[in-house]
Amino acid sequence: MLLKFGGPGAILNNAADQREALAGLLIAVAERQDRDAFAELYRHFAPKLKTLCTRMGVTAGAADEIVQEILLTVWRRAATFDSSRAAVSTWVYTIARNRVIDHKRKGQRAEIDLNDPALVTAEVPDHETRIDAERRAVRLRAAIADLPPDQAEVVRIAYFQAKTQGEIAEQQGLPLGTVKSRTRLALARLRAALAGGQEQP
Amino acid sequence: MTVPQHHATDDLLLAYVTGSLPYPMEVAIAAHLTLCPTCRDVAEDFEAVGGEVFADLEQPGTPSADIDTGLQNVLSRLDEPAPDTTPPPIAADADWAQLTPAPVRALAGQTADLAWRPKLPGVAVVDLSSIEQHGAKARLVRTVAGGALPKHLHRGLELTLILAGGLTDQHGHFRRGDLLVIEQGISHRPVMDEDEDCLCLGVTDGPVILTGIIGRMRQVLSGY
Repeated sequence: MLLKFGGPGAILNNAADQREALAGLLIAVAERQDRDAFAELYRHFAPKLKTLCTRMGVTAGAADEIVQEILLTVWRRAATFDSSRAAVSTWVYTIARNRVIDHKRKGQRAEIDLNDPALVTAEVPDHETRIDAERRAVRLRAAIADLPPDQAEVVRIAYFQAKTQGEIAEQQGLPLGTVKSRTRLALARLRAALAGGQEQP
Repeated sequence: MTVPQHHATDDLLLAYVTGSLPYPMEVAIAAHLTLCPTCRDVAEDFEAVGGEVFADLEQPGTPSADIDTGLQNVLSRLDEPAPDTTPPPIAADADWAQLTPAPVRALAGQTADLAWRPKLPGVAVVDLSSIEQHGAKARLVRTVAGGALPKHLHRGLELTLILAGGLTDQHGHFRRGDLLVIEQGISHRPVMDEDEDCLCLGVTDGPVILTGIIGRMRQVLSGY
């Protein structure tokens, strides 16, 4: 099931269908090294990744190459994608974030290694009790859209500009306590949406 | 295996997920996450938020010719052998690998053979200052069972991850995997459990100041 995105013939207005299609493309890459599927993923994600890179402080000159490296990593690591744990957008985001951090620091990021002998697991692996990651992501997307604008703004800045709360406060001319409380309120709402519970009023 | 009871704050987990922590603090959080399934869940939720904020990004009109150029370039590289990203084999020190999460071993080495330096009576440290970033420093601290650290004040944030043994201060009782987060300006006097020596990863982003009379004298003498 290969569906076109973004082109003039795009008919996927339904977010849930688009998500399933993206996951299908990634699985086709993982299972069959499907180059057409990869090309679809590339066209979908490359412009978003370029925006992400430049917002995270990568110069325009370096961004194109980093976007290509991120998507090459998507090709190479497709087999590690687990649709029960993460939505496609989340999986691509974490690859992109790590690559941008490496680029900015010229050094490694400290990451959890799920094969670490020291790893402590929960008694019941939580993803067995969770519903499909794409369905959770649909709920999450709706909750983000429902955030009050001031809360949505601090969340966007935190992710895109990789700024500390102190830096956000300075940039926005807000007291640090205001940035912290807006961020906490926003994250509490979003986590409630992920858990399927009632959102805070 | 026991699950930690003292967790990273949401502020710290968000900063970890978005990549805005200095590297030494990132190591402490990644190490805590290795030992704490509760905080891993929260971090995964925050990554999911990042994924959706990313998916929602408005796309300024990138010329499709530019996209095609990039795509052709990547397609031509798909058959290149992947760079070897597997970490070096762990030295035959399985106990050390069980004790210290991978982000800590990446800094301190793959064996327990470390250059411990006596700091205070009953306290030895290994400075991991090679990774100092934005004023944040990491060190391993080993304190004898039943010992105590002198009362001290933090001029910045201090993260202490317990790797072995345990300690108690006014914030509670901390065992393996627990993260003790001390905000700027708070002083404390941790007392170690009696059962075994206490091994901690300590990360600070400001100077540590000993506040008791004896502590101040020691600080002058030892340069602690």
